[in-house]
Amino acid sequence: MRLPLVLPTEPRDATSLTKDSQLKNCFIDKDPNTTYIVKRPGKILQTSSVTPGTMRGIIFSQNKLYYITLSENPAEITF
Amino acid sequence: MPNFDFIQESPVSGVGFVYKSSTSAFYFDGTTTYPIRQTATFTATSGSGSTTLTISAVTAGSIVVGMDVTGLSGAAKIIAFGTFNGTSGTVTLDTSRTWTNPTTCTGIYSFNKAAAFTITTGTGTATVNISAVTEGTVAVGQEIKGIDSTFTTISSFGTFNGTSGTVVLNRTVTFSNPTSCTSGIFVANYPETTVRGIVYLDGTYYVMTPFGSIQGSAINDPLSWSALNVIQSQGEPDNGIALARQLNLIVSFGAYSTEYFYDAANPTGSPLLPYESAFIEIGCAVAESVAQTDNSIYFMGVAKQKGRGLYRFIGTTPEYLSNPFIDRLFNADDLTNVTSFCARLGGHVFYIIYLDDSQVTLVYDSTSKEWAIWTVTALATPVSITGASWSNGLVTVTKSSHGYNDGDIVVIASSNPSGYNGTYTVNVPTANTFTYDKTTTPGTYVSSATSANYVQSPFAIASYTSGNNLDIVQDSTTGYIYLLDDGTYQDNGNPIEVLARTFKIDGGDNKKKFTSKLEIIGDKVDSQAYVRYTNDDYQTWSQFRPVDLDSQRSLLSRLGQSRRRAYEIRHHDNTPLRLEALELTVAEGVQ
Repeated sequence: MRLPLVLPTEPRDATSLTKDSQLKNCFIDKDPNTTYIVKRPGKILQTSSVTPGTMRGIIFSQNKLYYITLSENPAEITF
Repeated sequence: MPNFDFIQESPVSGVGFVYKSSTSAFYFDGTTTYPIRQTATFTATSGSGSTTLTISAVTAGSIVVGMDVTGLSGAAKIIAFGTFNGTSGTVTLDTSRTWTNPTTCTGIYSFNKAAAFTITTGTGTATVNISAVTEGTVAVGQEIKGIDSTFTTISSFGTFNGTSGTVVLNRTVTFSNPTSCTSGIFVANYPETTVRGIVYLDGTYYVMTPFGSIQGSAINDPLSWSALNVIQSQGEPDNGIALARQLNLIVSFGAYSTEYFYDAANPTGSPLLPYESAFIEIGCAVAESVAQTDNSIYFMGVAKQKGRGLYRFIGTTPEYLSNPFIDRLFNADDLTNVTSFCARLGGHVFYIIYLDDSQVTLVYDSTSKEWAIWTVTALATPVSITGASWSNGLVTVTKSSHGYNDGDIVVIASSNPSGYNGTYTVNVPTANTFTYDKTTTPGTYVSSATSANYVQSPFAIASYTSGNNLDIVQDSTTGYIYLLDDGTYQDNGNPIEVLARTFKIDGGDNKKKFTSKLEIIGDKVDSQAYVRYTNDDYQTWSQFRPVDLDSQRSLLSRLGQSRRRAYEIRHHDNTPLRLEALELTVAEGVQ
């Protein structure tokens, strides 16, 4: 018996995420013959030189990455 | 503190962007930030009875020169900073006021641009020469921005004739020749409070108030707002929740309805008119659920009847994307802290929504139309173990009340001897011991080893942006900035735990089944997966068993008997993973 791993995420209620079928940290990919589960993209750290709670959003503009600081001013992040 | 939202590049000068929160808005031209409306709440302490006010703390927003202050004995304006450094220090008021110590004050700054011009000669004096007015009308009383950070106004005209000539300022100024300036007046045309979203359509910026009034800026000028450029969302008497743009239409999300507006190019008032045929009786449950990509707007919708679901507008037609299982998660959340974004990753378009109250991040893949849960891992604080031993390829570690779960990823470090060190997937036979596989003996354990497990938490993103073919996210807890990369198989060195849990399998009857083999069908990769099963509706589980994904056949055998069984597969190695199916060899009993 072959059981495809393309599984719906169907928790029976909001407090039972450890029960019932579920996919975590993956997504479903298809080619003409087969359907797969594939690991999700990973994260690469670009900068940690910030103080938690002091950043209020990021924007990429004119080939530069800015973050809005707690003082509500944009600051450029170089990477 | 909520993030600024819906930041958008501005075409005013070809650079910069506009950004706003619910009570403030700014235009950044690539060099200078221009407040459109700025607010602050702060504590005034010493200085009562003078023009020097000492600020001990800024509790919200930020303070700027020119801000009107309330909470003192009368109206006052901050005209210069003394020792104020952004969080505390002295500022200079335009008039002496009194207050008790401490007093909570509010500051409001609202600048409406009236003119743009260049000043040339006059540096070092209070009389400067305007060489050319490039926009608008210069008038006495206007504030000038662009010279320095001190409050500067035009006190009177000298030889100024409307296009050039000298004007007299309220103070001596120093500047380079020439310097580009703008001037404006304090008219609070920009709304006091806005809902999430700032939209640009046909040269006009639009924001919406919580009462559903959509207000527009001057053409290509986010610094200038007219009190007349307003149109009301009034298809239903519900509150405004969020503003967005779909194709060439403005989308006004209400609490239980959605209206569209189009640019009718009205010569006076708002250029917008309602797009009557696209009125929809579905509103937006939470503004932070609105995210946009590929001509589609995703949002958590709600109707007058209780019940939330994920919807997507394609054109002006709503499409229901969630299912009763996901809707139950939406309905159980208090929606106090929600973030969402769309991203195209690995050829898929994802809608990713983080529900802080429920501590879950749900991901809708619009390509496969399936849902998943995304998490991240972080290493817990290491604790000292009591002892360790090796026998027959298995290390047994003793640690009282270790708190680990079967299948946890545990890092052993600082061991003497060092052969015990490493990162392992552990089995947990008791609350005070855990085990892991090690084919060769690490020697007799002496001392000093620590253990720490990786703990999962939601994939919580506070903000997302993209550019230069990069997907960039900001972590909601640390504020750190990350790239999302589909060729990376860890999160900055921390494992990504992939999990596939099946539904209960019974072959259509409740007879006993004897499972002799389980094989994982997928790509061959130098890595291990871990498999366990439950026979009692996910209440108890077998121990995880490793499966070599690089073997010709990735097999487990001797899997016992069951009537209804579900399997769980986990993988966390720093490798790609692409799995297709479980192949089970099952014989059915007679009863």
